[in-house]
Order: sequence, then structure tokens, then C-alpha cells
Amino acid sequence: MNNRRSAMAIPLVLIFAFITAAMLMSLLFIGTETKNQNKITLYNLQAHYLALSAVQHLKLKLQHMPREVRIAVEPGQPPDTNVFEHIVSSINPIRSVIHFEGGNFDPSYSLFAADAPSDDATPIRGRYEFVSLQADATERRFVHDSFIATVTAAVSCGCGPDPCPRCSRHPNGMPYVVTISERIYLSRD
Amino acid sequence: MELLSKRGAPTKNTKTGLGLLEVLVAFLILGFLMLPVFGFLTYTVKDAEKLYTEAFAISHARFVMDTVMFQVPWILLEDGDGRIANIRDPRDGDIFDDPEIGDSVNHLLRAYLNRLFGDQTIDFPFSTDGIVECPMGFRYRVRLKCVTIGEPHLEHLDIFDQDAIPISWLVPAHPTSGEYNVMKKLILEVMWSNIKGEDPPATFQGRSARINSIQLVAVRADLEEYR
Repeated sequence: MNNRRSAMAIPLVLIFAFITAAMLMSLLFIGTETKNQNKITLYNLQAHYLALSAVQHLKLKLQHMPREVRIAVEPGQPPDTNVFEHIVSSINPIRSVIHFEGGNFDPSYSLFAADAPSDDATPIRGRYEFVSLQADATERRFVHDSFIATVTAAVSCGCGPDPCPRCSRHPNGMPYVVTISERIYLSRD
Repeated sequence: MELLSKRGAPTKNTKTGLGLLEVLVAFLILGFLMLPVFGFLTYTVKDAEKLYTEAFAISHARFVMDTVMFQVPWILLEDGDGRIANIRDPRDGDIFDDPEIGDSVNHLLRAYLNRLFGDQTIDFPFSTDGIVECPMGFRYRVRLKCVTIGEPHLEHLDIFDQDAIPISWLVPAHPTSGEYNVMKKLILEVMWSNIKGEDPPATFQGRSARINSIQLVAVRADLEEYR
């Protein structure tokens, strides 16, 4: 009887150690996972605002040149995408201010730095571009036509000139991509 | 007699039980083993606080950026000193020839901006720099920079085509600056300390383990037609 009781000690200790280790490992895993999730949320949010910037850029063109755009995307005709080729952050003539990559990207950028950052500098490395503007026949109305505009934006994790392993696996070094589609109505006048 | 000796066995029971010394030693060993466990738990709680502050900063940055992108009228956004933007109505009360209405707009803006940049006294023109506090007591410094993409960055509206169209053909000049522009670049930074109740510094003093920051960038176009 005595021998049997003492033999229980090792299994009990092992079970206790296993439960404790499992608990600690799960806590560690949850912490690491949440940390990664926060980072991914931030990068996706940065890409989201760049994509919204592309939508703003596209709407600006539609607002000031509705007829030119209308001709280019006449329903039933193949769209003339050249009209929109300037809606790209990287090759845009305003390049110095809304170019979010290359020499403009500054990993140490901060609005709290002792010296005010340059207007051309950017704290995130990314780009946005126009993808398509397609007529939507299902929403055709009496005085206006409906189009689905699609834009995309991508950002990196903020790594400097030497991309991190995750960013370097992507062709342009920007793995966090957000694509936005928005319905736009153009008047037929 | 034999039965008694078998059944009684008082000496046997004493041998199988645990003595005070054994219990104390067991607790001591257990205590030593639990020390790193409790240390790890403390670290996890602190780490959870850090993750919470990150999540709050991201959430607040999104709130500010959405508001500035889609709620604050275009004409109110001004470049400021190159680091902190200004928000003000350049028309004041002149639109109705009534200075009281101008004051009302300022009161509205003050209430509005306190939600974005913290509950503090901000004077006209309102600067986009302030401190907000989360429910757990951590403090975050929020700052917004605005860069007008117009003169001198862009003399013509060649965002549309290489055959430039002067911006002045399309939009009116800004009432205060007199510049023509149709786009603004917005850069938002939220900086916070991992220590509860500590104000993040107004000026960056080099990288530190307890100071964190996140940034968002967006471009806003002048899509308003009320002017």
C-alpha cells in the first residue's frame, strides 16, 4: 500500500507540470497572436486609407471632367483606361507629395521630431492605383448611368531599404493589399 | 489479540501520514516552482495592457482620420506650421454678416475637436495637436499634419493630363491664403507611453522602449460644391 501511494507522486507532478506548461504556452501564444493581429490591422488600415485616397483622386477627375470620362467609359463600349492612367500615386505628376515610396519614404519619420519633416516625406511605404471603371447595366436609370469603380492600394510593414522576409516575398515588397469597389453615378447630360 | 493488533495499527497510520515538516518542504518547493509562473503571468498582464494601448491607438487614429477625411469641411483644413495643421472657418461670421454666428461655428468646432484631440483648452484657430486618455488611464498624443497640394507644389492641374489645365479655371481661390488647390495630404501620428498616466513628450527625444507611435497617411480631394 505504501509503495502504491508513493508511486502516484510522479504522475501527479507530471500532470501538474503539463497543465501549468499548457496554460503558460497558451498565454504566450495568445499574446503573440494578438500582437501580430494588431500589426496586420495597422498595415491594412494604412492600405485602406491609401485606397480611399485613390477613390478621392478618381472622384476629383469625375467631378471636373465628367464629359471626358463619360466618353471614355460609354456603356456598351470597351472602356478607355488611358483616361485614368494618372490615378497612380507613384507616377503621378504630383509625385513629390503623394509619392509614398522610393526616396520619399522615411522609416524614422515623426511629427514629434525636433525638426519638422519635409512635405514630400512619408512615414509609410505604399502606393495606390486605379484598377477599373465598369458600367453596371443593372443600375441604369433615366438620367444617369451607374459604374463600379475599383482601386487598389498596398503598403509594406515599414521596413527600410532592406525588406523583411515577408515583404521581400512580394514582387513590389508590399504584402498588405486593400482593394475597394465603389458605385459611382454619372449624369448623362 | 491478533485481530486487535492487525486492526489497530496506530503506529502504521502515523507512518503513512504527512508531517508538518514534509508539508512545509512541499510548499517551499511548490512556491519556488510557482515563482516563474507568477512572473510570467505578471508579464502577460503587462503585455495585455500594451496590446490594449495599441488597439486603442489604432481605433482612435481611425476615428480621427475618418472624421478629417469625410466630416470636416475641406475649406476648414489649413497647413499650419508644417507640423501641426489648423482647423478654422476662414469665413468666420462674414457669410451672414453676423459675428455671433461665427462664434457659434467656433463653439461647434471646439466641441468637435475636443473629441478628436483631447479635452483641453484650444484657441482659435484650432490646432490639431492634443492629448486623449483611454478608459484604462493611458495617455496618447494625437497630431495631424496637412500638406496642401497646390501652389507651389502644383502650378497646374496636371493630375488629369500632361496638357495642363490651370487650377484657377476649376476652383475658387482659398479665402485666406488665396491659393488654388484641389488636394491635401494628411499625415496623422498617435504617440503614447506604456506607463499609465504619463504624458507622451511633445517633442521626440529619440527611440525609447516605453514610447510607441503609429502613423496613417491619406490624400483628400476637394469634392465639395457648396462654395
